Amino acid sequence: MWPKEPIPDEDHVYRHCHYTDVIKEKRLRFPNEAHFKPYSDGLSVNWDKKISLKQVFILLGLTHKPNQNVDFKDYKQFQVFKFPIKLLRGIPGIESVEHDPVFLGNPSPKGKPNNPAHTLVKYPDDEEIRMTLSDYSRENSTETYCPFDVNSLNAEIEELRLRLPDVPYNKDWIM
Amino acid sequence: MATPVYCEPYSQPLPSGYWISLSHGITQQNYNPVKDKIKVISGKSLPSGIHLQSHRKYEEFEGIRTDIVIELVDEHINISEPFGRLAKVIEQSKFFLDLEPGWDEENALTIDPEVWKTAIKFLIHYSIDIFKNIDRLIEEPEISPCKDGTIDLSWRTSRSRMLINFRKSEDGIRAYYYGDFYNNKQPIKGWVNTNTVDIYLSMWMRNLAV
Repeated sequence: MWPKEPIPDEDHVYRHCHYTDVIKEKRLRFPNEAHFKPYSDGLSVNWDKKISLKQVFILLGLTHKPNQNVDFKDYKQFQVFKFPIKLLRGIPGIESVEHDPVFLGNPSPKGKPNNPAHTLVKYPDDEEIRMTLSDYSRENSTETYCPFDVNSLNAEIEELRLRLPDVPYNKDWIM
Repeated sequence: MATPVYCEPYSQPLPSGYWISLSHGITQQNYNPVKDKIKVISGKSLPSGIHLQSHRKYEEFEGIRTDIVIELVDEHINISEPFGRLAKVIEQSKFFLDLEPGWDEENALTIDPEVWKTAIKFLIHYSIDIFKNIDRLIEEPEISPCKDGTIDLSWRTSRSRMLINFRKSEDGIRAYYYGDFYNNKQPIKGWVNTNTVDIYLSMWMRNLAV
């Protein structure tokens, strides 16, 4: 449904990070190197032109845990970090940052929302790249860490879950 | 050399490859068979900071004290007090073995006990090797589980940084590493097998000493 679009260097992507991968040091928060282990198709992120920070958390809250048809992901277990596209493209070894929108139907199945912002950062499993990404997050923590009161979404996510899949996130995202 | 006097629990030769630190001041006279766990060979005291690699070398000295036992799935390693903080960090990483599939709310795999054990033994062996050579401890690393079931060790000191990932390959578990003096200054990168201490890597890792 959504065409792939070129992502300009000036934009950013959001990356959600499970709490087990977040280091808290001197009031800074940043993902450790383990967080940047890529999957076979790359690291999933969300293009900020197509999604808001709030919607990143809602999307997590409307997605089932892997291989489950009942339990939703606990969106409270995540923190979100923001990375400049230009930075990612400038790291030696990172092959591409490509828009990769996900459309699974109108509506898509319960627990599998569509995602017009989905983007893949492709790179090999490489210690130098992972260390570079983690260190950037550490050194620029005030810019990369995206604080958000996730509890403010509790009621909204609960209401959306009850309506699934009849919600914009499982359709065309027109709110 | 005096006739060895064997004492429990080391009445049998130590397995080759075990690294054990010697403590200062243990003699045949002051040896405590319950507390000290030493094998007495002569009456001489030992200088502190001497570390031994094998049973053969071990016999050249008169005493051994091992204070800390680290349980590693199906075996254990004895280390001594200078490595107490390292033992604590290792102990804190044991919960990785209890992580269930999808522990990151996504597709994370369970941590392979063999990979965890190999990473910990690597850490202990290199830490002791470096201490033996320069009489200084390396900093304790951050030990992290990775979503592909592998283990990371990472260090950041005031002047250097290093990341080592332990993962299975066709010929066993390898340690893939990257280190530098920040900003890619004098980088080191590659992999080593984990069944021996690699001299080149161990020498570089001296830069992680406190």
